[in-house]
Amino acid sequence: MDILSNNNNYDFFIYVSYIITFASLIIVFLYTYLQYLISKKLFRAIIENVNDPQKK
Amino acid sequence: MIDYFANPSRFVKITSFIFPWLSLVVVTLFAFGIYFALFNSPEDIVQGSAVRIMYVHVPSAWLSLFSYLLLALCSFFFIVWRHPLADILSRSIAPIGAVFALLTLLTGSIWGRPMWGTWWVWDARLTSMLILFIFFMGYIALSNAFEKNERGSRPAALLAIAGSINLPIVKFSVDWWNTLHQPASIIRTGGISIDNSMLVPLIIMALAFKSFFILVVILRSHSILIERKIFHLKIQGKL
Repeated sequence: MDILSNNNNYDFFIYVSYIITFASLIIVFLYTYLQYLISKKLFRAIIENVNDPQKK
Repeated sequence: MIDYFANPSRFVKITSFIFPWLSLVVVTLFAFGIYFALFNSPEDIVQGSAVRIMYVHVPSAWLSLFSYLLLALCSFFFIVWRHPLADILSRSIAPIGAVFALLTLLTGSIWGRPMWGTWWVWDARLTSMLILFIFFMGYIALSNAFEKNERGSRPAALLAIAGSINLPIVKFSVDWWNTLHQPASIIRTGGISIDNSMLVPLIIMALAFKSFFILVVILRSHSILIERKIFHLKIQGKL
């Protein structure tokens, strides 16, 4: 059975691939979410400015 | 049906409602997926524990193909009907698809080192996947190449449609050529060839990746919509 089974330890490769994958997903999510929040805030500020003639 | 959802304000309304629920689904699926993939699935008799890399590599590969298909479809809708939402969705999909294509290449390479003894070979599957990544990057570069962003939409959409020829090449490269990459184990004519104990974590991770993709595309499309509104206010001289 030992001949058939693969007893090598691949932990390093497994952890590196999981860290790369999930770090990328977290970065993608945070970047996209921040971009969304900033554009939403900017748009609100612009609309307030447009609607307020005194500020113009 | 398409017309109903293609209305930008209705799209924002529906997706804003979906967003918190989908976030919950993503977190739950990833929690279960990682648990099954790392702690509750058997080792492969040939690959040993390295098979666990498959649970992130395969869903990334499926998703990169799926996102390119969506990108090509949205580009087609944009070219034919000139609907701005199709363009916004294409622009939202492309960078996320590129990330998943890159992840496929990276995790595949990390798996290849212990299994094949090399990080990279110019194998038909690997090369066609690299070309898919280049098409994503090409779309992103072309769509943002003009000062007025919307001018880049048409040439970028044409590139995306032309690049869809690569999709069947990626999928069937392992059947058409002698490749180092193993043939398909799930989406194949002879039925699924892997055991349920490995299939379950793979499916959970695939669903987690897909829902994550939808979540991020929703966010990106919302911010692009807002940026477009700001741009049009600028054009109208209101800023």
